[in-house]
Amino acid sequence: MNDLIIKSGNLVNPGGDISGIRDIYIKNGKIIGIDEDNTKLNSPKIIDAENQIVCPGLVDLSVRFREPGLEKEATIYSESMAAVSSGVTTVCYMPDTQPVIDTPAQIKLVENIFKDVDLCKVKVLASLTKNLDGKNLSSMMELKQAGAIGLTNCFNPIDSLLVLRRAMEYASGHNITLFYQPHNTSLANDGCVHEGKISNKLGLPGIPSAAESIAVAQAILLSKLTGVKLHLCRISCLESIMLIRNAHSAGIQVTADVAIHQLFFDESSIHNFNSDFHVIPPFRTKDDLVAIQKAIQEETIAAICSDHQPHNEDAKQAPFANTQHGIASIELLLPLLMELVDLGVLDLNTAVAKVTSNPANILGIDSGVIRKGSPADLCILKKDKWTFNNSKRISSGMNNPFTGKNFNNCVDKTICNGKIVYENK
Amino acid sequence: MSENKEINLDNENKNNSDIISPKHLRHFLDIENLPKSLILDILDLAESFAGVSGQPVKKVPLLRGKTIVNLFFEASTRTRTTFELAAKRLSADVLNLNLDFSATKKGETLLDTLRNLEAMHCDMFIVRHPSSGAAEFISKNVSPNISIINAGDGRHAHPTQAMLDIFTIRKYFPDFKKIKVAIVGDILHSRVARSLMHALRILEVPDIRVIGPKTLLPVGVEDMGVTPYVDMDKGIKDCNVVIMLRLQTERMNSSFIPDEHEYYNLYGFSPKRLDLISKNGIVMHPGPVNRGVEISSEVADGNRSVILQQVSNGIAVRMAILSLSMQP
Amino acid sequence: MKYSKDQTQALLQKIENSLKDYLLKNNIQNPLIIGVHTGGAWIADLLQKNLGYKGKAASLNISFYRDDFSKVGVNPKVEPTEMPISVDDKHVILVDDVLYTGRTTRAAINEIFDFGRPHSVTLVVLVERNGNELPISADIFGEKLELDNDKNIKLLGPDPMILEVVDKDS
Repeated sequence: MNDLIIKSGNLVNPGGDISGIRDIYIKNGKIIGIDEDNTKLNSPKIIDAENQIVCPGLVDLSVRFREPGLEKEATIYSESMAAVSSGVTTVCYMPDTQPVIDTPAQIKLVENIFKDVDLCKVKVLASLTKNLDGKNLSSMMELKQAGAIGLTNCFNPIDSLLVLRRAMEYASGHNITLFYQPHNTSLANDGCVHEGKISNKLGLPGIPSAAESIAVAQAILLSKLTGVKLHLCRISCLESIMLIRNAHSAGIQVTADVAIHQLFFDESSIHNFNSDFHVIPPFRTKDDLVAIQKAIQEETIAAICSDHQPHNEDAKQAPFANTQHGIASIELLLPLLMELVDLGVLDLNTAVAKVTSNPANILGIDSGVIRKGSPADLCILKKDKWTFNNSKRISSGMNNPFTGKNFNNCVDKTICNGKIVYENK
Repeated sequence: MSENKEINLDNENKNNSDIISPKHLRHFLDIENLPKSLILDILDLAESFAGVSGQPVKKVPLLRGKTIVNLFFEASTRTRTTFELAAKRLSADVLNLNLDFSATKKGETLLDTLRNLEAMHCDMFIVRHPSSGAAEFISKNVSPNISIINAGDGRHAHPTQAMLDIFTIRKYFPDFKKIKVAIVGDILHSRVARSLMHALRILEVPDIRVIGPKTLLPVGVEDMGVTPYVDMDKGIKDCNVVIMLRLQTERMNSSFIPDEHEYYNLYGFSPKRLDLISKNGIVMHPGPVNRGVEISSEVADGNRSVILQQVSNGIAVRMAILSLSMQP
Repeated sequence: MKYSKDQTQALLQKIENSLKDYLLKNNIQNPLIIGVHTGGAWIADLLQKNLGYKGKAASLNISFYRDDFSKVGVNPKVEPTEMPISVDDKHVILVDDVLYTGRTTRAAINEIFDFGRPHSVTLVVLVERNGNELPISADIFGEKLELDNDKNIKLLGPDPMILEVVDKDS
């Protein structure tokens, strides 16, 4: 492995003490010095990062790889390529594959594939219940010992609050973080868009905001009861945000994230039954969009993730309600984030924190920050106008409503463990 | 926000790619974006076709040599039959395909079914499908020489039914700007109601009311330019036209309403409610009628009811729509 | 170019006289006069009155029978066909303003046969111009006219009726 020097980059490092124009020295996959005249390096490769931003490698809290089971849609290799092209160096692997990741052996299997692919680091979120059935707890401690960073039931419901309570209690005792997607299925009632103007206009079954916020309220109260470390995934509405704020002011430790696409669209984007906009939770109202944008300026929503869900073409070739939900846009995570900075929604430092140090803190891992002695996970970003289209697409996922969009920033290089895993050519 | 604007927009200026010229439509999917002038033209043309049904030979050669496919993914007798008759009176060849239990259940996708029918060189598909947006989806994926007529997609739209309803209304009330219209029943799940609300709004009907229990009124229905009522007696007061909707029996088992008995008391059109509507008021129903559930037999068969006229008007209106939408 | 009122009137008078002779010669007592919308219907009404028959002439709207429908589409403002009595075994006098390609006449005959089986059909036109595309010619006409391909002749009316030659695309 080559030693590296990244010269004169503008460090944006919200989780660390050092920022501004710096030189970074890398050896054996670790940052061994910042701005030190380090002569210990062995014929280092020098990267000139003048006029470029250098930030920690991104930590993405939710990525679907489809492997094992649905390799015809995507693989760990294909989606890892897409991830590093957006500066992502640590991915949270979601367990709703076929089969479901609910045993230590499967965690090992996934970790081994990532080792072979050798692009980015993986943190597996294992299934909270056996086969995601929402009823029987999985072997939570064994999964943790096998490397699971946390547990989640994905989109699958846990109908009984008693089961949820027990799961939280058990997790709390073993210091396991619960990643909970708030979604009351009986209120959602097979809906596929936000209940309101759009469901009315298109005659599509709607999901009321209350289907999410009621689940948020229940989870917050149970986390208080049980003391579990709770992370709420993919917040989409104003009411949920109010509940999280209230929890914070009452001293309840709960964190939350939002999918990047929720910061760009509201329900009106679906007007022509365009199934590329079919997501769960659904795009909600303009007011909700404004509330989410405000909540990420604060600590209310600590992290932004890609919520990457690749599908092949068939998945979207049906009438709207019959299509698969989800967007495959991990490769645009950082360009989209920079657009939020350009639009004035976020300042640069906060924006970077939402995808680096904050998600790393939620996961409790030594990542998402540039400091001496840390793994050399870095992203170099440059100003460059470009258009995302199908010929540029890296992910196997065809489902991307951002196709045709223009961007002002692109990832120039991604470095994971001191190795250049992506280079823009 | 933008939705609100859209609904108050002057529809004449709307860009609609499905309209080729005032004499030609690409597809007929939805009423929402049709200009008022075109809606009136369709009604006028239907009026001319109504004459054809009175002739000894109930047929004109307008669509001779064209093949029209009735592509029904959901059971329907009335709509399919009137479309079939309309097509045959225009001298088209008609193929009826009920795909409810056939190909699609065997795992053939909707697109595969379409490709197969395209290969048979058909000119027009009349589509009914249980999913909202299905007609639009098909229109986007079909080869350019084929026109799509929406014969009902999920809860979204049933534009030909709405056209025949306003055709029937115009026979009694030529000036849409002077009438009060009420739609009663399961507005939430009704594609007929949705299309009617658009049609009546575009025709500038000043007072459009929707009446039903809150469980069956869509959230934010006011945005469609209508006034919701939970009390039927208040809602139908002085109305010129009352359109009753069919109540699906499965609504009872899913907590939308308590039972048939209470529904009839609150929202059924009983003979005594005839006294509440305007003296010259008419009662309509898209059929099939649930007698004693949403309407009493006495009203349905009485002299204020125009239910059977709706059925015969359906043929002329559909002839007009088919001939305007056929590609060269 | 416009015909004067009197010129048009003279042509109308001419076909009226010819028709009278024709009916007499062929011993036709009660013809069914049918005009093709719109110009033909005006002339038919006039002939109906001047020949001393009661009521309005029958009228045909051949929009639904046109063979160029797929090219031009349907005109939404279609006046209905009015056929007050049965055509069975009638001597039909089919009246139109201009005979050009013959396609309108073809469509009109088709439509007439959808109403029944007439004994005979006689074609009366005000002007027969060049450009015939079908084996159809008028039995009675006001005059024959040679026109350039880019010209159209049409009848303005109904009161007074005046013939006018115009450019096709105007």
